[in-house]
Amino acid sequence: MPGLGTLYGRGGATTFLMDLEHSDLILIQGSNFAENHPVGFRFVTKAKERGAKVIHIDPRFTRTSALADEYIPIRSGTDIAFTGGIINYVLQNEAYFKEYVVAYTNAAYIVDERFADTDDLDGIFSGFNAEKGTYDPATWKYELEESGGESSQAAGSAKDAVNGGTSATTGSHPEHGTKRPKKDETLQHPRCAINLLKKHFTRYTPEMVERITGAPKEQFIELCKLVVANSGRERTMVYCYAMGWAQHTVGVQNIRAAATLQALLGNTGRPGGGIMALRGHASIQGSTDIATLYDLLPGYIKAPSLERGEDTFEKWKKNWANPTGWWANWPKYAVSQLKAWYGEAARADNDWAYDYLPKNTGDHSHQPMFFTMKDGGIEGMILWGQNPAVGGQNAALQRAALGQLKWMVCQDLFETESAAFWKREGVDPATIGTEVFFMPAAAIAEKAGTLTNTMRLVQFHEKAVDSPGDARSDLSLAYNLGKRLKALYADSQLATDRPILDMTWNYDSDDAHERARGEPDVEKIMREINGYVVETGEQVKTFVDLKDDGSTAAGAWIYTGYFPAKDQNLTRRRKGDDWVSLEWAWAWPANRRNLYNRASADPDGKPWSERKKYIWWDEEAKKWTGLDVPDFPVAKAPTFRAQPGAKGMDAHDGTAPFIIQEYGVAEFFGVQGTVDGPFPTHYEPRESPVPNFLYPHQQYNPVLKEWRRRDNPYHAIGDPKYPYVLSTYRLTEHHLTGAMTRWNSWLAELQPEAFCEISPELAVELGIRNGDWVTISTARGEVEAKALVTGRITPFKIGPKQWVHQIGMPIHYGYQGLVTGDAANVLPPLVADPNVSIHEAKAFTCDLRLGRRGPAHEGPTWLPVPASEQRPLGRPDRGGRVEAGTAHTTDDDIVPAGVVMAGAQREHQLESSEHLSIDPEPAGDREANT
Amino acid sequence: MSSERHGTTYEAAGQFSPDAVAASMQRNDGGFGRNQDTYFDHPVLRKAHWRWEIVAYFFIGGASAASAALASIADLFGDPDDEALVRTGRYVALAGSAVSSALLIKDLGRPERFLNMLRIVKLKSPMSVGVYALVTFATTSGFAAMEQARADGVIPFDPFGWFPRRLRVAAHMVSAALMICYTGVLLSATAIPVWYRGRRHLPAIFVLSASGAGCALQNALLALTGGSGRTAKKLETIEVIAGLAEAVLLWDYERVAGEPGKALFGGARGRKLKTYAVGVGIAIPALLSLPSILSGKAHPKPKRLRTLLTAACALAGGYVLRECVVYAGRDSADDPRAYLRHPE
Amino acid sequence: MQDMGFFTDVTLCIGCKACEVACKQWNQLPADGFALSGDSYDNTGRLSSTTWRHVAFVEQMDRETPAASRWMMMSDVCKHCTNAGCFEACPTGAIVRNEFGDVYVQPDVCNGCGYCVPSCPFGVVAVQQKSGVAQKCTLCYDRQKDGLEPACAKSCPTDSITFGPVAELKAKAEARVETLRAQGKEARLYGVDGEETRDVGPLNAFFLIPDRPEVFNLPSKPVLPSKFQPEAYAVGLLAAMTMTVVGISVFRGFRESA
Ligand SMILES: Nc1nc2c(c(=O)[nH]1)N[C@H]1C(S)=C(S)[C@@H](COP(=O)(O)OP(=O)(O)OC[C@H]3O[C@@H](n4cnc5c(=O)[nH]c(N)nc54)[C@H](O)[C@@H]3O)O[C@H]1N2
Ligand SMILES: Nc1nc2c(c(=O)[nH]1)N[C@H]1C(S)=C(S)[C@@H](COP(=O)(O)OP(=O)(O)OC[C@H]3O[C@@H](n4cnc5c(=O)[nH]c(N)nc54)[C@H](O)[C@@H]3O)O[C@H]1N2
Ligand code: SF4
Ligand code: SF4
Ligand code: SF4
Ligand code: SF4
Ligand code: SF4
Ligand SMILES: [Mo]
Repeated sequence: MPGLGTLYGRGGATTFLMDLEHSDLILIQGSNFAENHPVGFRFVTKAKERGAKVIHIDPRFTRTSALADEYIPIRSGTDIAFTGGIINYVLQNEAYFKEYVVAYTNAAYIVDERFADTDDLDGIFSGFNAEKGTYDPATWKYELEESGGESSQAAGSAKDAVNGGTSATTGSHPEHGTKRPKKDETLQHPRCAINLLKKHFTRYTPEMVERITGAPKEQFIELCKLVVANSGRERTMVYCYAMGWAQHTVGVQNIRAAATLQALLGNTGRPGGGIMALRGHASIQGSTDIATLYDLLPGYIKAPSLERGEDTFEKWKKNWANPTGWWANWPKYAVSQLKAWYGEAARADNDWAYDYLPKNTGDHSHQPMFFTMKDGGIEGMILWGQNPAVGGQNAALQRAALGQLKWMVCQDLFETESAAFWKREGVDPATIGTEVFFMPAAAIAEKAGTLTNTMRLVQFHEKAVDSPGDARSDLSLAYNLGKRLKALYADSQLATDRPILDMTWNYDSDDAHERARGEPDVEKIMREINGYVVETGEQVKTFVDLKDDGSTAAGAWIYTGYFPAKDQNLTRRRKGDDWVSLEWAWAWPANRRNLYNRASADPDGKPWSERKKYIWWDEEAKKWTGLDVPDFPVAKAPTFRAQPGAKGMDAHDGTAPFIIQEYGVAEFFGVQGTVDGPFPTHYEPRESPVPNFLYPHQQYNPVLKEWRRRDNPYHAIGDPKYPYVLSTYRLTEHHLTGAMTRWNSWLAELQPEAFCEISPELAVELGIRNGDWVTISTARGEVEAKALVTGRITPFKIGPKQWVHQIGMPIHYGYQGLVTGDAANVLPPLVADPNVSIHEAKAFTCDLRLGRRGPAHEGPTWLPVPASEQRPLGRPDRGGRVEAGTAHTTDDDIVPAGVVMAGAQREHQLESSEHLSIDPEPAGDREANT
Repeated sequence: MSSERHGTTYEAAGQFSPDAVAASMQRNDGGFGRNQDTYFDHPVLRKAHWRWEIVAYFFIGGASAASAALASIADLFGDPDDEALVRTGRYVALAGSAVSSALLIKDLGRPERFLNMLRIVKLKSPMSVGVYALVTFATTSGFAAMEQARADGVIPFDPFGWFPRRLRVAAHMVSAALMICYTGVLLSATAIPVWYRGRRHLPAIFVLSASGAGCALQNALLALTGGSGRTAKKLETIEVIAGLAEAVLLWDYERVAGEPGKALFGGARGRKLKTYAVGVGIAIPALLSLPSILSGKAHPKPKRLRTLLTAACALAGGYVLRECVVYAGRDSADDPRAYLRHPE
Repeated sequence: MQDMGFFTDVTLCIGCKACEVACKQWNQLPADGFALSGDSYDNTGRLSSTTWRHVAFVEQMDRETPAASRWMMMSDVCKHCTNAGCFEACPTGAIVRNEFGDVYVQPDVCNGCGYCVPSCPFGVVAVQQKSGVAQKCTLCYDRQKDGLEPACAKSCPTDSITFGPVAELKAKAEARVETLRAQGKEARLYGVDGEETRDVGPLNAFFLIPDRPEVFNLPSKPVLPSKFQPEAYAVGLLAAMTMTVVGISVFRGFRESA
């Protein structure tokens, strides 16, 4: 997540689960920790037993709230206002950790005078390009010292703006060359980062927080006091978040706000501190490390993009190899990777076969991909362990899109909704041309391999039994596919076929039984990922040994070291202790568990306090030592000072803990890495019944990704037809689209039917009784569910006049399996955060009525869209603009949402739901359209 | 509607009485934890699976054991013209114990399950005691019947003839008494409130109603087989005494059982109990037999129809009593408050 | 051999139901059905012949003072009573107290008479239609014999369920109550020495609960059925003797009057 990357350098969680036990205050916000990471939650209960306080901030009172010391209700989509309020409290009361902030952050750095803040520009930052609907971050810069090193003017500006920086690491800015920013260590200069930060958040007062979020003011102030009391030399606080923050059109900024606060309070890099990102699937961390994302290569190396003009290796390198900081090593990692993939064929004279790499030409993330598919732009698809017919937003559109494919291969454990999309309710299979091949998959116990969990811990698991029948591992499918392609092109002379022919592909198992089953040897692949010396073929021990001259090969530098010798698979280790457990498996990078841990010592290298001792400088041994692997050059003394013009790590002082960052410090003012502004700012969700109290004329994130098409209609701001906020989430009893749980009677009986949670207040208002059937509808479609009326859901008092009802709905149900139910995902629109293209499933508007739904519930999502309307990303106007005069100005006159809507409608014709509400046609006609 | 639905004008505070909320949640605590006195009204206890088989078993076992007792008493203390009673009593006892065993097996499912109970003797378990009561009762009834058959010349000789007669009769009597007693204990010694609250009444009530039923049954049979009027009068006398005592105990049972007693004495079941078990089963027979009891001289020929009617009423009442008690146990188990709110 | 049992701490339970599922998996018990109850997140309702661990969800939401709101989860199980009603009632000796001090139903001996069912003061044991025998938590007798922790305790992520020698568990539990009370929280043990143990004695599976037992459907005074037997027998026999006397005197009386 760039939210962490921009500030700290790396996108991964900064800490590890067992460390929670050593925290004094655990803030869980945007995560239902207890329900979705129950095993990890044991360390929260342990911390509690040791006397730590646990606070849960969430729209619903969940099983996590039940275990928390305090629960604070907050309306979905208002976390920046909330965290911003704490930041403001800390800054106003000068309660931040001075020594830490001055030494370890860019607080003192002076920002370019051309930069203009949202308060100056009525809700947008300087550099907004209305044509593209994106920002040009040219003015988001520091003032550089005149002297000191050359300044290479690369064409890198706004490079991330085009192509959402999914990177775990920050975008770099080599155009600075080795020049260093001007500083004012006294923090007096009005334009030094911390003062801009202070200015930016001054309006986030407790009153404003209560007004926007609905969280009681008194409770909020108490929390601020608690936060301050539990930070500093002696105590630390940790943040735990997950999808409740990420799944928003301001998802990345949600996380960034917390990262900002943790840096201000000096909690990052210290025991019991930092930010615990609670990730999803058992190995979702692994799948971003060894990149499943379209714009990344393994190890967070940015995939080449023609939009950034990276048509040659040189240009690619120029864009990503920082002169200073850790990314100065970028060429070593990129070259070693190409070497690992193309072996002999990757030579200095052919730019390491750079031409073999496919180049991105646009946004190919999930959502645009499915629009392209629906418009007939994609011929075939291999669906691998994914179930978009249930898990994808505007699911009905995604189901329709599958029907536009010529062929689809689905490898899964069960015949999921996606595999069976062609026989779902209201569809005549005869009208669907897609040829579907179903390949049974081997489940986890039926194959060996690694899982990289939420704390970057790579753990190996053995195979327990052979998979039944034809079921095979995904690896086996991929490997044999590759082999057959190679065979197919074996005698081709065409240059375009070289990438296939030259690809390293030698993972045959030495075990006869496995070979006979067509299963490759996982450890052979791991050895390649770890890397080896090309000459001798022996394993590389650490990424420090990787070279940019082609003498080393490594599939993913961040994993280098997990297989340091032919017979040493460190991810098999299982020796734990009651805390850091360095000999339990292996964590990237370099088995470091708590990142930036140099910050656990003061600038002189001494622990901030005895109580929070973790990593320190050993004067005798002249090296860093402690409980963890130092996340710092081990022999670099605290007293080390960088020389002007120095490059790479030498450009960092001995006091710079954030080694990936260009200047080795945490950056409040995000020079790059996020494309929607250098500071987090409160915007309402794309669909909301509430006006933006902070920026009345800018309702939502002006650069969010949206697709205004008749098959993806949006509700107008405050549309009275959709008065309620809907938020979707998980239950402990099920897993995501339910494929792994709704087929299992023991789990199915625990949560057998689709339901929605509503407050007793709303139930009384609508005459709904516990257990009644209700229908939830949006312009995208409607679904039915049983009503679970519970006091755990509360209406929110918003502003002086408005009450907002929030409805909650689990995402787990679909039309296949032992127990079935309508999929919540028929309801949300496709809309995305501009940085990582994540959807906004946590907050959108809907209507609710008593009774069951009609037969044709998939709405207008079936319609084919005329070429003229198949608009890709971006829009010609300023999204979310609310015209002057229509919005409220003073506290007491909130415009009735209707007026806001009028203002909004004038400028988004396509958006008004009248315009798009298409009466569901008879199924027959709909088929005709597909 | 829409503006109100829209929520801009909506004021939640105060607008919703907890009762309105409770109604919407179909829950007495309104989901707000007000006066939670059970867990979603789920039962705390589990009910016995017993149905008509057990009701019939209790009834027939009781009536036939009582018959056996009466036969023995008549045999030891009666006059020559009580012999008819001795005969029918003995035969009924045998038949009754056979039917009872059959019913018990029906309830258990398979015969070997019945034998399974004979693995051990466990005085702590009324079920175990009961099984042995049934077995001994059946055996002694067998002896008695055999003796009778010999006397009636149905069989040439009595293989157990050598056995001291008085001892035999006494044994038959004791086993019959046990058979009559244990059923009440079986119910009283459970965790079911309506039953254990009757521990000082139920066993006696069952004994008394069994005695009544026994008398009624014998009277009916004698009326059909032409027994003496004097015997009939004796039986009627005993029956009336037992009946009145039973009525008194029932009344006291209701008094001490309190709230949990409602499962038996309240509502439809209560009415059924009072109308049939007490009204039809006790009052009517008493009224019908009082004249003859009070009239000093024993009439030589009993009035057949009246006797049969009286018997039918008494027997019906006895059956209904047991049915009500057994089924009250089911409701009592399903009512968490009976147990949680009123521990003994 | 010291008694082995459970300490289930409601204040640590996150209601994940892992215990419920682990139990069903280990003992290969079927699902009970697929219907939404509307009773908070509890869709299995109560312990049954095929659900030997059951997690109850008690919602106490307070609108006036939201801070007082609670959602308590409690993983219920057979209490393995010191004086077990089921054990005493069983006519076949199918129910035994095993070497680990736990109450165990031998399926091969049980004849399904069902008398243990109304005799359990906690409504735990039940006869299953299909197998025709009484079933309940075995306290993983089979696993214990192999030196394994019971499946439910093993799977509990927060150690809300802890398994071990009952004596040790009690010490641990008392300490826990102290800490909670020190934090100003409501906490009491159920099944250690409260009035609930008056008849059934200390429970080998006991609980730490933050509210009245009734809230979790736990009886504050569970009864021990066998305790009622003396009175019942006495009353019954007395009645029988009385009737015998009545009978004799009636028959005799007539003889004289003749
Ligand atoms: N049992 C189980 N565990 C799982 C999964 C599963 O399906 N089942 N899925 C796994 C995966 S893939 C993932 S990504 C993780 C997700 O883990 P979580 O993010 O914890 O999962 P969610 O339930 O989607 O959302 C968490 C909480 O966010 C709250 N929320 C919604 N909107 C907002 C908001 O605007 N602000 C705040 N502060 N909170 C909000 C919801 O009420 C919910 O309680 O869980 C993983 N673990
Ligand atoms: N409204 C709404 N939508 C959401 C979310 C939300 O919070 N709200 N959450 C989002 C999030 S965070 C996520 S991660 C996605 C998840 O969305 P999906 O990933 O589409 O959902 P899953 O059910 O995890 O799909 C995983 C599939 O992989 C199969 N599978 C399991 N193991 C294997 C294996 O070894 N090999 C193969 N080939 N298949 C396997 C499973 O059977 C299942 O069908 O949903 C997203 N959608
Ligand atoms: S499901 Fe697996 S990964 Fe998730 S908490 Fe449970 S054990 Fe951990
Ligand atoms: S709880 Fe019930 S089943 Fe369990 S031991 Fe006690 S009496 Fe027997
Ligand atoms: S059902 Fe089985 S365990 Fe229960 S009492 Fe009868 S024989 Fe004993
Ligand atoms: S001890 Fe074993 S049998 Fe008893 S509940 Fe736990 S898992 Fe089930
Ligand atoms: S496993 Fe533990 S935490 Fe989960 S429900 Fe059972 S007792 Fe509670
Ligand atoms: Mo996820």
